[in-house]
Amino acid sequence: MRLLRSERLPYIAAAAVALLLLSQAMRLEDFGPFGPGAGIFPQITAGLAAALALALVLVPALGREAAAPGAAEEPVGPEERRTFHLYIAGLVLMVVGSAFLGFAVTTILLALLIAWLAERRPFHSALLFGLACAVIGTIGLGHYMEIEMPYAAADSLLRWLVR
Amino acid sequence: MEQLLHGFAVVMTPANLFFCLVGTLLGTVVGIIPGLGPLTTIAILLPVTYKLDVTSALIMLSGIYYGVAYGGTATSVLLRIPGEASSVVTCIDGYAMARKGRAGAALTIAAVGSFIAGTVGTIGISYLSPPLAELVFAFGPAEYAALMLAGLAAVTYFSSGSLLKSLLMAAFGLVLGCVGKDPMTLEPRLTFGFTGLLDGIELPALAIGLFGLSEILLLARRSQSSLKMIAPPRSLLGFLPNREETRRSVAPVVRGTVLGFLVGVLPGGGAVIASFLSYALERKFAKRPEEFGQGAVEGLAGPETANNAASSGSLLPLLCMGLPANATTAVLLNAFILHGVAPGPAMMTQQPEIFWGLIASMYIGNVMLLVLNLPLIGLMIRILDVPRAYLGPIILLFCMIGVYSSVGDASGVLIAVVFGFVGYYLRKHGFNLGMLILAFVLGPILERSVRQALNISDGEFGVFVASPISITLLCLAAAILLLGLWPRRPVVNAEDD
Repeated sequence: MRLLRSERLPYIAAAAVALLLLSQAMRLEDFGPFGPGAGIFPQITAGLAAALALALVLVPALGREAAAPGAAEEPVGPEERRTFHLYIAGLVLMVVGSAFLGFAVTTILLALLIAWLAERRPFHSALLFGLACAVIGTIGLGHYMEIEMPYAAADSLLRWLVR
Repeated sequence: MEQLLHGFAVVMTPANLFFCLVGTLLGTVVGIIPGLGPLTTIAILLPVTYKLDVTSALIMLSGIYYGVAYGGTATSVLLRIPGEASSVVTCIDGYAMARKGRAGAALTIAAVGSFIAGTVGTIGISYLSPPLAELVFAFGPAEYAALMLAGLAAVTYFSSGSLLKSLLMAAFGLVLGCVGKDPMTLEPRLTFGFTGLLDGIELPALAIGLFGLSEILLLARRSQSSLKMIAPPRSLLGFLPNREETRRSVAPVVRGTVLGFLVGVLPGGGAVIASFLSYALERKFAKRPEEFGQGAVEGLAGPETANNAASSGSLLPLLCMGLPANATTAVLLNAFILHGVAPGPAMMTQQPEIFWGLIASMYIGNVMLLVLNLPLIGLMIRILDVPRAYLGPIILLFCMIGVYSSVGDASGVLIAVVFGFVGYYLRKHGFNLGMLILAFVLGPILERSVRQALNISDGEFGVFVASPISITLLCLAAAILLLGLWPRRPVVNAEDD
C-alpha cells in the first residue's frame, strides 16, 4: 500500500494516462511506404511521458523540488469548501447550459449560483446582475459583435427585441 | 529604417491606433486583476478578433501581452498583491516605498523604467530581426527540430520545481498536440473514437481550462479578505520622484533593460526570470544593500524595467523564427496562425506591413501606456473593489464565450471544463502548466520538422546529428537538462509568463 501514498497518486494517474495514450499510439503506423507514418511522433512522446511518469512513481523524491506551495496547503474551512463545491457546480452548469439552455438562461442561473448561493449576496441583486449580464452579452456580444454564442429560445427573444 | 517608417504609416490609422489603445488598456486591467493573466485573456479574446482586420487584431493582442506588466506594477506597489507573476518582486520594495508615502514616485519610476525598457526592446527587435531571419534561412528541418528541443530544454530548466515534473508536462503537451487527424495522412490519432476530437484539441479550450478555470477554482477555495490599498497621489505633481530617487534609478534602469532583453530572447527566459535576476543583480551592485526590502529604489527600478524588456525581447524569436519563448507567446503564435500569418523569416518579406506595423505599434503602445497609466492608475485599480461574487461569474462567462466561439459548439466548453479540473489537480500538486501549453503549441511544428527530416534521410535518425548546427543544439539541450539535475536550480514560477 506504500505505492499508493498520496504523494505518488498524481504520478500514478499520469502514468496510467500516458500508458493509455501509448497503447493508442502503438496502433498507428510508425513508418509507411512514403516515409515516417502517423504513429512515429505520438509513440516517441507518449513513450517519453510514460517513462517519466513511471520514474516518478518509483522514485517520488525526484518530484519533490516543487517550489510553489499549492493552494491545498492553505487551511480550508467549511465555508470555503461549500463555496468551492458551488463553483464546481457552476462549471458543470456552463457545459450543460452551453449545450441546451443558451447564453441568457445560463448566465442568469450562473449569476444566481455564484453570487447568491456561493457568495451569499442578496437574491434580488444576484438576479439583477444576471439579467444585466444576459442582456449585455446577448445583445452586445452576440447581436452587434456577431460573436458565436450558445443559442436558445430566450436568446432569440432578446435579439428580436433589438431588431 | 524605411520599412519601420512604413510600419508607422500602417499603424497610424484611426482603427489601428484604437485597437492599440484597447489592447494596452486591456493589458493593464488584466495585470491588475490577480489570476487573470495575459495567456487566458488572449485565449478568451481570440474569437472576438476574428472579425477584425489581421493587423488590427494582432496589434491589439500584442498590446495585451506587453501592457500587462504595467497593471501588475500598480497592484504590487499599492496593495502588495502581484497582479501577475512578473510583478512579484515589485511587492517587496515598491510596497515599502508606498508605505513611506512615496507611492507616486514608485509608480512613476516603474512606469518610466518600463517605457524605456519597452522602447529599447522594440528598437532591439527592429534591428535584430533582419539578421536573425537570415540566419534562420540556413536551418533545415533537422536543425529546426534540434533548435526546438534546445528551446524546450531551456524552458524546462528555467521553470519552477522538479525537472522531471516539468519534462513530464512537456511530454504530455507534445502528445496532446498530436490528438486529431494526422496532417499528412488524415488518419485519426489518439481520439479514442470521439468524433469531437477529430479536429484536435483547440488551444483556447486547453488554455482557458488549464489556466482560467483552474484559477477560478483555486480562488474559490480562498477566503475573501478585505484589501487595504495605499491611495495613489491625487495630483500629477505627487507622482514626481525627487532628485535622489531619480539619480538612484538611472543605473538599475539601464542594467534592467539590457539584462531583461537578453533574458527575454532566450527560450524560457520570460519576464518573471528577468525580474528576479535583476533584483539579485541590483542587490549585488547596491551601495546600501541593507535598504533592500525597506523601500530601495534600485529594488523597484531594476526588476520593473527588466520584466518589460523581457516581454519585448521574447517577441524576437516569435517574430523571426516562429518559436515562442514562453506559454503566453505560444498562445500569441496560435493567434497569428489563426489569422493566416505565419511568424518566421518569411513574414518580413511576404507580409512586411503586418511585421513592421506590429513593431511600430509597440513603440506607440509604450507611449500610450506611459501617458495613460499615471493619471488613470488610481481609477483603474478600483476594479479590485468589484467583489468576487460578481467578478467570478463575469470571468466564467467570458471563458465560456471564448471557448464556444472558437470551437463552434458546446464540446469545446466540455473540453475546457475537463481541463479546468485537470489543471486544478495538477497545480495543487506543483506541476508547471506553462510547459504543457508551450509544448502543445510547439508539438505540431516539431513533428513536421522531425518527419520532414526523416523523409529526407529515408528514415535514418542519423540526420539529426549530421550537421554541426544540429549537433551543437542537441548537445546544448543535453547540457541544459544535465544542469537541471543539479540541485541548486533557480526556483521561479514562470507558469503564466
